[in-house]
Order: sequence, then structure tokens, then C-alpha cells
Amino acid sequence: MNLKEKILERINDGIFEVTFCTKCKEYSWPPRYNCKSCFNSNVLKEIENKGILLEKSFSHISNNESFFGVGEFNKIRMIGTINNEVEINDLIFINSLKIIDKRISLEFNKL
Amino acid sequence: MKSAIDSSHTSVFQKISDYTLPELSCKSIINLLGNTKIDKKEIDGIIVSSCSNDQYLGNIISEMLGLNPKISTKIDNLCNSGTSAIFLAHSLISSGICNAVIVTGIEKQNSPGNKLIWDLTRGIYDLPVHWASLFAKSHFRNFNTNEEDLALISEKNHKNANKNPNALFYNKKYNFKDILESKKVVDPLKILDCCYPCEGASSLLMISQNLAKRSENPIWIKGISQSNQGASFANISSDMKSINSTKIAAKEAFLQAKLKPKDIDIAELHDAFTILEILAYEDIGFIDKGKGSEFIKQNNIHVNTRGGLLGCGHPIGATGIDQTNEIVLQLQEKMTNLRQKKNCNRGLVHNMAAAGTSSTIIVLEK
Repeated sequence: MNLKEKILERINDGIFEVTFCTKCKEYSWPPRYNCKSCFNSNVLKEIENKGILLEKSFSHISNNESFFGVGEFNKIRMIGTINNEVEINDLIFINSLKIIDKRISLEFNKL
Repeated sequence: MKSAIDSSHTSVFQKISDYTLPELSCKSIINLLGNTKIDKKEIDGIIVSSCSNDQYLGNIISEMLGLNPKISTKIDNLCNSGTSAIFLAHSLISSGICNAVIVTGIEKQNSPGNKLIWDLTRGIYDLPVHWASLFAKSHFRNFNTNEEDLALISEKNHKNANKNPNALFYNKKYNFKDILESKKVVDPLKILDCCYPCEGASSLLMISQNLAKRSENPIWIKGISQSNQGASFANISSDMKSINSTKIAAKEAFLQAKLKPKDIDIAELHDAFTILEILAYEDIGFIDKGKGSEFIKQNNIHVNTRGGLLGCGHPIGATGIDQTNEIVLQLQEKMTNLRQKKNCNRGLVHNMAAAGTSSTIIVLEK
């Protein structure tokens, strides 16, 4: 099982882990076995579920019509679904987590 | 040692054909070699630009054309592949390893390069239009850019494509209203703010200073630089107001060329989405940050005369090469149609990939 598969398996259990360097205290995403700064082995760790919305838009693409935005959590960024009430610079948390077609589907809500 | 571009060829871009990638390339290279005084036996390098999964393309093409180069290889750098191949050819020539290198770009419409599967940061919003829309939203919010500004870019480039028989949208006429009323894709981008993946082949021949003595009209590479800032959307600039790789590559290329943005007469900018042309104006340094939408109205230089990616379509591996060919033909004054611009001495090519994580800038001179 590779790193991505391990992470997807944990998401199926409802836990969102990303890679973390215990020496540099830095999270990394997409996941990697080694820290890009010190090359020490990374561990898997849950991110602090408190971030900020940096930008948002609305997708009209069929089967995926939704508001979405880029959020920053522990200095790592990811794109997720939002509702229209969430504004840029709002504090957010990951409300829902699932796998769709081997992709990670995140939903951010306002804290 | 310097390198020059001697000759060029681009095939008609189309949605689909029965030709294989090597067949598309060979047709283009045969036309290319018909436009030069350099003999086929003098070719000592072939660089293939493509995001396909096809194996051993350089050697297959070499065998089909009876070439025996010193080096034959393939470059994949997503949408920035074409100019990456030119960068490698320039390095081979300027180091003295090669004297005459063919750079050929080929792609089919269903290329795996259309989507970067590795980038988990995009979640289920993994099409290029999703990240482009976030850049557009940021520009709108920070600098009051609007949908009309984007439509002006699309209108200009589609009109230019109407003068380019190789362009996918050569026969398609779109006015400002058509563009503004076109189908919404991801806010604020509409279908006519987005380029269309297609099939195409484009080739050029690069030569050494020595061989350039036999060239009718060599166009010199005065500066060439590339910046790579990772691969994921997470690695883009912190504020989404700029494409950092473009800023870094442009600064270095102008330094090499001992020129400034104001010295450029004509440019091919990577307009996969309309907002990217506005960002390119600013990040290359044609105008201050935030004023990109003013630049299009100023008409100081010629931009995307072939029609850009918006008007030509985007055969990923061929795009950067066709962008370069456009500048080469304009500087050589070889355009046989309404597209030829007068008094152009220096041109610039801007090619980029994957949310701006990689950009190349080439400065060319007569």
C-alpha cells in the first residue's frame, strides 16, 4: 500500500491525516515520505481542524455545480466545497470528508 | 556560443485525426526541412515535446525520417513542454554538443497532460479551469478587473485566429457580446474565456552560430529562462495575485538579453484562460501589478497575433513551439497573410504549466 492509498484508507475511516515532520514541525501536502527541508521521515498526523478561506468561486460544471474555495490549514492548502455564506478570510473547519473517484472530497464550513 | 532558430513549421490544429503522434510529427518535420538550407544529414539532435504516454518517440521519428542524431529524447513538462524542449535544444547548441537540433511538439486531444492527477490539493475541483477561476476571482477582488476586461482578451485573440489558417477557430467568429454571453463554466470564466484541448504538431530547427552563416534569416535567442516552483496548486504564490514562476523567468531572461519589457515589439503570451494573459502582462513587467486590464486597451505591443491558445486551440506539447514559431515568422517577415506586423525587431514567448508552477520566457531578436 503506498502513501496515498494509506491516506485514502484513513479517510474511509473518517480520519484526515497528512504528512508531518516531527523535527521541523511542518505539515506537507500532497503527502511525501520525507520532509522537503531536512529529509527526515515524515509521519502521518491529523491536521488541526481550523483554517482560513483564501479565495472562492462557483463551478457550473454539470454534476459538480457548487461553491468551492481554497482553504489553508496549518500552512497547507486544499480546495473544498463551501456554502455561499462562507466569506474570504473567514475561519473554517472541515465538516465532511469522503472519497469520490479516488479523489478527496472536502467540505468546509464557517467556524 | 549563441543559438538561433532557422526555420519553422506548424500543421493545422484540429480536434481529431487518424494519424499517430509519430506520423503527425514526421509530416511537420518534412515540411520544416523543406524550408531550410541545412541538410538532413547535419541534424544531430531531436527533442520531442509531448505529454503522451507513447514510448521512444524520438527514436521512432528519427527512424521514420532516416535521421541518426547524437541525442534523441522526449520532454514532458505539461503545458510548458514546448519551450522546455527549446530550452534543452538551446543548451545543447550553446554548449557545443550539437549544431542542428529539431524540436518537434505533438499532442492528441485526449492527452493525459490535460489533468495533473498527482495534485491531491485540488480535491474534486481538479480541472485547470478551477484554479484559473480562483486567480480571476482574486484579481477581480484586489484590482477591480471585470468580466468585460476578460472578454476583450478573448475577442482580440479570436479575431487574430481568424487570420491564422492553422488555428482551430480560424473560421469561428465571436464578437464581444457572444463572449460575454457564452456559457458559464466556473465563475467568472465562461467557455470563451477558456482554451480548447486539440490535436496538433509544430516543429522548428535550431542551429549553432556557425551554421547560422548559411541561414537566410536566423532569429537569435537573446535570453531564455525557466522557473519551476513545484507541481501542486498548494505551491502557487501566497496571495494568488501573481504567477511567481513567470516573474522569476522573465527577470532572468531580460537580464540575459540585456533588454527590458519596453524593448519588446511583439509577444506570445500563455492565454490558456483569459485571466492568464492579464497576469502575464503584469508578471513579465509590461505594466505594473494590478493594471493588466489597462494594458490591453493601450495597444503598445502586438500580443498573440496567431490567436493565442484561446483561438488556436491547445495541443499541449505543440503549443510552446507554435508560440515560438509565430514570433520567428513575424521577425523574419515571412507571414504571407494579414497577420504580418511591421517593424518588429524583438519578440517574447511566455509559456507556462499547472497553475503557474512552471513558466518559460524566451526573448528573440532578428
